[in-house]
Amino acid sequence: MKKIITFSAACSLILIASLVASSAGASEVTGTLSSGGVSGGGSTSGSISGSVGSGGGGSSSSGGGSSGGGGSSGGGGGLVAAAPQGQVLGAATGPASPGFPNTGRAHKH
Amino acid sequence: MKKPIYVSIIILGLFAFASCFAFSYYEYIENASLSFENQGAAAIAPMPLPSILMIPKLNLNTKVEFVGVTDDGKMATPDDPANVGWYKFGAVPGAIGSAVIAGHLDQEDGSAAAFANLSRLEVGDEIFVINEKGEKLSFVVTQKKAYDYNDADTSAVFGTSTTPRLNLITCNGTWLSAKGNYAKRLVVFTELKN
Repeated sequence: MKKIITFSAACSLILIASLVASSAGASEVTGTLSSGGVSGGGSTSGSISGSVGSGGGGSSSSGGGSSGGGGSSGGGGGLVAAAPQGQVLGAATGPASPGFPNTGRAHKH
Repeated sequence: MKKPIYVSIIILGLFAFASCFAFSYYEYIENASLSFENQGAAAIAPMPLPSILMIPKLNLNTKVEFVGVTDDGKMATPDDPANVGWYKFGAVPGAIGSAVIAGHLDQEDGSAAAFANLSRLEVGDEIFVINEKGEKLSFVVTQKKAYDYNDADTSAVFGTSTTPRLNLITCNGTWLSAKGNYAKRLVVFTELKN
């Protein structure tokens, strides 16, 4: 009887210990996702925050880092193309609305 | 001293409960992580960039160069007059926003360039963009409009949009030899069909 009790208690302790360890080590994701944006809360293995192609209506898209990569991020003092939710920009920075190109009488480079 | 049997039963019950709880918790954590990863990949996956522009009506099938801006803040033009230039700081063709592709009207020796016949496009005509993944995106002409070259407000062409647009630009109007430029720009507005 004593052996059974000891064995059961030991197994329970091991399980509880592994449970505690997993909750401490696993990346707990508490962020929310919306179209065009990734925002996240803290996690024990790093957090994901910032937005992709967010903004719109303003003169610059605010954007932070994205651990997933591929995001269009801002900066550049208002020279960033404004992007509505979900817009995917080709490059990170540049004038939102440049002047018309000179497409006449091209010189062959 | 011998313990009663119910003590053993209680301990075994606790063990079973702990096992079930631990298993359920692991399942929850794993599902939550997978769900987040899948959604994240969809939200931030990069859009394939354009590589070929096709306009069947104009018998045009040409390469797409990536262009930025000139020193004086104008959209740059493709190096090869036979190619067209996609404005790389704007939207990617097929994505929500205004993607812009410009092409030369003619060359220094008077011969035709990529967009020599752009003015022949009419509302309803189709154009296609093949992206780097080989996907074919179909756009339909919705509007044509001419602007003065020095028009300061180009936001209608380059600005934000809630739908996937592709706007094509070339020269238009009279040649101003003193300025080395045409007086106007023709813009053909299109919207994604598929």
